[in-house]
Amino acid sequence: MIGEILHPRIMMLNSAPASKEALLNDMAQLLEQQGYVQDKKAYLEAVYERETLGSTYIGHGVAIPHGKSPAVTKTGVAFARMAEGLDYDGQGELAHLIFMIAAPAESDNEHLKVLAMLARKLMHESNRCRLMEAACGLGVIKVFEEEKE
Amino acid sequence: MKVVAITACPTGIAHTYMAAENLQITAKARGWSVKVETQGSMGRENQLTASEIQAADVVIFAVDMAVEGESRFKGKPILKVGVAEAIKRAAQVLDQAQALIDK
Repeated sequence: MIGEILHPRIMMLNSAPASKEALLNDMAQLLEQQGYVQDKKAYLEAVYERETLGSTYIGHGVAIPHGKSPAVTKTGVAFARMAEGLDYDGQGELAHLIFMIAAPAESDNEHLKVLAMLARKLMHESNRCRLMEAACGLGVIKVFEEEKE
Repeated sequence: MKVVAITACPTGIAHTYMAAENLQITAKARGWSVKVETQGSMGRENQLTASEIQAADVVIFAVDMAVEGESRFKGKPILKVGVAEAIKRAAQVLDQAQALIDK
C-alpha cells in the first residue's frame, strides 16, 4: 500500500528549487505527469489554500504541504529532498524533506491509514536521518515499510 | 506523571497524527505514562476511557478545532495548545502541563 502512494516516480532526491513556489510547482507537475493529479492548477489552489491556514512546515526540517481536491485522481505523496534546504515559510528555518500529499475529495480509510502512519514515522529523528541518507527511492519507501519499533 | 491528550486538526490528514506521535515519544522519554486520542480523518481513535481520564494528572488538548466529547474532562486540569505546538515543541508543551499542576 505504501508503495502505491509513495513511488520513486514521484520523488526528487536532489532538488534545489529557487523558491517555495518553484518547489510546489515542480512537485505538483510530477504528480500530474505520473497520473495522480489531473489538473495541476486546481490541485495547487487547494495546496495554497491550506498554506494560508498556517504553514505546513512542521519543524525538524520537514514540511508537508497538502491539498484535498477533486483534481486528484488517486492518493499520492510526492517527495523532495533538498541537501541545501529551503527557507520554507520565511522564518529562517531550513526545510530539507518535503512530503506533498495529494488526496482526492473522497479518501478511503486504507489511504488515510497510510498517511497517518507516514506522519507518525516522520516524528522519529532516526527515520528523518535515514530519509536524508537514502540512496534511492526504494530506500525512502523502506523507511516507512518497516514495523514500528 | 500520567497524562492523557487529544490531538485534532481541521484536515485531519497528518497533523493530528504527528502531534500524537510526538507527544508520545517525548512523554515516554521522560518516563511519563501517556495516552493520546486522535480526532482526525478516521474519526476518533485510541479513545480515552473514563477511568483513564480519571487517573490522569493532567490533560493536554493539542487542537486547532473543538474537541469532541470535551465534557468528559470536566474538573481536570487542562492545557490547551495549537496542534503545531505539539509537533514543533512537544517538550515545552509538557513543561507547561507540568507547570499547570505544580501551581
